Amino acid sequence: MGRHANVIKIVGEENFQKIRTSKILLIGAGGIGSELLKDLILISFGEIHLVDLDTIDLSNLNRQFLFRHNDIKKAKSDTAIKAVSHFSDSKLVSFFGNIMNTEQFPIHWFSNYDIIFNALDNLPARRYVNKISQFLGMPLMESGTSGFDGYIQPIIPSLTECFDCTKKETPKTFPVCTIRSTPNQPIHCIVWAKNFLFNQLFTNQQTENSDNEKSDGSEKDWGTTDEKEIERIKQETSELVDLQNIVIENNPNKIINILEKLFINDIEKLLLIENLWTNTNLNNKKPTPISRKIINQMTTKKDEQDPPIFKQLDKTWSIDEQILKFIKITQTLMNRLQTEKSIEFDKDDNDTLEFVVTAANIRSYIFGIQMKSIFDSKQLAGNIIPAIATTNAIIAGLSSLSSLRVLNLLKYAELKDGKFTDLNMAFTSKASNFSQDRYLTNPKLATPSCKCSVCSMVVRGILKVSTEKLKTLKLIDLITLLSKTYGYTLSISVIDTKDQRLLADFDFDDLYEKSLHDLQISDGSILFISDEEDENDMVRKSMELYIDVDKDSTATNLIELPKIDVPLITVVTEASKEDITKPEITKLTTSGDEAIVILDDTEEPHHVDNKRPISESDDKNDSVHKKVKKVADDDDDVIELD
Amino acid sequence: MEKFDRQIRLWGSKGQLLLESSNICIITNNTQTICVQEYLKNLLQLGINNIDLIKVNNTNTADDDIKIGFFDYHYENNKNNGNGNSVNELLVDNINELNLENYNVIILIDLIEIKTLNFFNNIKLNQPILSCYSKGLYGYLHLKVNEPHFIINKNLEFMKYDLKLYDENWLELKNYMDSIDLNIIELSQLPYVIILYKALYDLSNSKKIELNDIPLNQLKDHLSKFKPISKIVSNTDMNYLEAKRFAHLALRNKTFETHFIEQMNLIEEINPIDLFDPINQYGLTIQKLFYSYCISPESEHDMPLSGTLPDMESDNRLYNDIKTIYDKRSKRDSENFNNYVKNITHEIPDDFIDDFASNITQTDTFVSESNFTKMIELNTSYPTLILKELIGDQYYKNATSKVSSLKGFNLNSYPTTSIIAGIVAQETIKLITHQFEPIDNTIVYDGLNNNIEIYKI
Repeated sequence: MGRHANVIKIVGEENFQKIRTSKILLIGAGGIGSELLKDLILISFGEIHLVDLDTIDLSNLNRQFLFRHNDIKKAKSDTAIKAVSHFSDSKLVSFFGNIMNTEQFPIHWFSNYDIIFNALDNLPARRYVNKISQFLGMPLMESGTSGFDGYIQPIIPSLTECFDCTKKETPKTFPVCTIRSTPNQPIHCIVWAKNFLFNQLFTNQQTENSDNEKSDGSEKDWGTTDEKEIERIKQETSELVDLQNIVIENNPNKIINILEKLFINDIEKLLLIENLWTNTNLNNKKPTPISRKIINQMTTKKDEQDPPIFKQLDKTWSIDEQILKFIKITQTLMNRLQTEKSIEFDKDDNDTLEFVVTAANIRSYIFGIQMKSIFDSKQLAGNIIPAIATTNAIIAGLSSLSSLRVLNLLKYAELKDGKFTDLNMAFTSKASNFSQDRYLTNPKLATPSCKCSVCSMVVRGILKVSTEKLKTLKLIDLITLLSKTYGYTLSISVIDTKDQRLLADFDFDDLYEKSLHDLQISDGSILFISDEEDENDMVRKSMELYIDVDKDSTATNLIELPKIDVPLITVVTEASKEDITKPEITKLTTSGDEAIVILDDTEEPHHVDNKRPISESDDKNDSVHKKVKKVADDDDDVIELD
Repeated sequence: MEKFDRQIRLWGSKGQLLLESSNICIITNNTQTICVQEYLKNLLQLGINNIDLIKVNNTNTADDDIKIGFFDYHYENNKNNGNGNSVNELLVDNINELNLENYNVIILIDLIEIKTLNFFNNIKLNQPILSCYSKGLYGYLHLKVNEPHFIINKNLEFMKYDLKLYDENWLELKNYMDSIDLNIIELSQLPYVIILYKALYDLSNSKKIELNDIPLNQLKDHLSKFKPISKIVSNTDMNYLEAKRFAHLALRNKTFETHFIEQMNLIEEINPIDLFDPINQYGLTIQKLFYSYCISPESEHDMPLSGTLPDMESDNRLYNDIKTIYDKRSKRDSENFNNYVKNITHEIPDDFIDDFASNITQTDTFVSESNFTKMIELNTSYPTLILKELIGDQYYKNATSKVSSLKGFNLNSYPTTSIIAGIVAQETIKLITHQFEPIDNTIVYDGLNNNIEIYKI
């Protein structure tokens, strides 16, 4: 086959055989994934396994060229594999699932591959796969695009920078009081409508972690010290229960009560807090409640036919139209709630989108903020990143070509002595900008950052254990074993990284007698081990231990510790430690920090900034102990709420 | 619309409409090359649906490309009305048979036949010509634009504002500014536009300098000296810092005006009335009209206000008051210009005129004359060596059979071609939407080092 002959010319006969026996893991079958799949097949890799958790959506079709109209709603991974089979002579396997699901994709499953290609669209998954690649020492081809811009970064564990060595832009956050009391931008109103109002009304989650005190007893930080305002926010939340009841009751005649409460009564109460409006340093603009007249007028129109403008999603509707739409869409959602029990906000679920947009716009109107069209709001509410076929094609081409050098198969550009820092990463420069002097920057790969908490500050290993052993192995047994094998002291601290749950430390031994199973440690759990005790200013390096449960083994006593050395290192000073170690579990003590509302980060941009160490900040898992984490960030003192 | 949602967020529905109604001409010697296929795939995904794929007959074509049918464009159709295919294949013996005036952009992909190549090197067309060639691990792309290409950038992130504080005839602004008493209002509440205005006029009056002639450094200097501010010692208020940072916005932007006149000189010889060709000369027509509007003796037209008032630290009430004044002016300027155009022609749609008038400082024109013979005289850096080899191979493939000195020259790699085709399509988007600056004018790609260099030839 001519295609083979071409590849052989590039890599040589011997290396071509390596290509034919290579197993590739490609994560993501979206824009970059479609292009990569095609490129990897045409390089003739032996086996390509494709993972994606998503189904095909109409808005994918402008770039994900393997999909057609009649594929909509089908699983991406499977459809992509079928679409390429006619020109593939690689063995192709598809998986439908979330790559972070340790049951479906345990660590030993990853270890079957030779290299991983990331074609992901979100930060948590990128970080997760990066970590897996670090555990396994497996090369990772990282990539991403946003509009005209894109990047690739080959990652060779322990030899080059990992994904987390550079700081990534984390989701935008806002103080509670800005969202709840003094919005001044459209996004503030959208966050209010989406994260607060919509969730309270339609998403079946209990309000335990809402505005009341945190379960550890610490005070919540409001971003304001105004007692009256805090009191009002708390009261407003409790009153929402009444609105919830209206929604559950499904009584369309009471929608008017919802409008009155949200857009008249709550605003009037807000106006009573004079401090907010008279303090000139705050520069807050006074809101004006919606008039009862308009609300009544629109309520009488609720059963009439939709005005034609409701079809024009790129136009900004008038305030009357916003209110009318809000009434209609609330009714629709109330009906749906009867059968669905709980509705999640989804930017592609038009009912939820229209509810959030109209509620946000009415609030904007009240606060004198510009209203937005459905089209524009969708971008804000859904964190939509523009995407085009051409950038994806360029980035996937760069990534697949670079992988040949990462695997050291390019005989014309051999890496001398495994010197991976001779490889390049690549960013396409802001092509959308007017700058045109550089189209692409391609710095050589850097060595791992010594401050990176993911690849440098810890040693990593996999602890293999049988199901039975997990049930009998007590925490103290594990600590003793670690101490014997690696030279730790017995007063090490152990943290379950999934939820930053402290299991043991030098003055906390209550859980010593519990078995790992009792402590909810299971397949895929990652334990963080650190030793505080120092001798002559030296301490054992911290360790991350991946728990790999061998489900096939019936052995009662199977436990295999990783064969690694844990070196003694110089103790870091308290001050610098803040910057570089994993964020510790701390209670909120600093005053003046702002509590913030987190936007979800499903599709945020992937900016790379070479300056600062990464901060751990997107563990979104429900934790048993709700704690406030202090983000290790030297500049901005912000607090994220779990 | 939903299908193209993710790209409309980049260039808006107007940009998308331009893409969908555009006519693209691809000229090649072999329609089955990887580059042609990849390029077609990219265009069709964007929603472009009038593509003429023209094969120039060439008996000398050494067909060493491998046909890989991963994407069959015969089945891809963006046309909803069932009226023909998106891609029309044509075979021509002589390039002169084509009416090239019908296209928005002309793309030459992997052309290796010297007669046709020379034809395009010598021809002067209104349309931009993008030409690409890839070989082994290398590739290049060249853009030739003989007539000015018009760009209107609506990306507000890079909006260039013009505050027009120097415009003494703008009475609404003047009256409002005069009504503000700096002795009553706290400095920290003032938006920087007021601070700048006060400083500008104070400087002009005290030093007897014409408003139009005040240099930037003098204004900046004065910002810290003039009385209402100097009474507060170390001022770290955001609005004051903004005033210093954006001081240039208070002054007449002479660079822009010179640049604008230069742009006009580029199209001086063209008679505006001849230009009402909606495909290619739209922007230029307007620009020309705009120019004549600004210099028309019977009016005192200044440049219309570009955009409106930027965001700034301020007391809300003050900001909203001033914003209202700017919005009014912007609207009025647009209307005046619109009326002026309407007196000359009715062929240009209103919204296009409005867009233009409110974005005037974002516009630019672009010409890229090129001379291929010069290319050989380039310096000898590694990327230019690659370029020379590529051109040599493309033009004289059959005449010379010398072995290239470059390592990756005979290593045909699929990803390399895919990258080149991606870049060509990227540039095509920029040319058709008129919203982004295209490359000026040659890109060289080196797949061995993942390097891209840009040269002007």
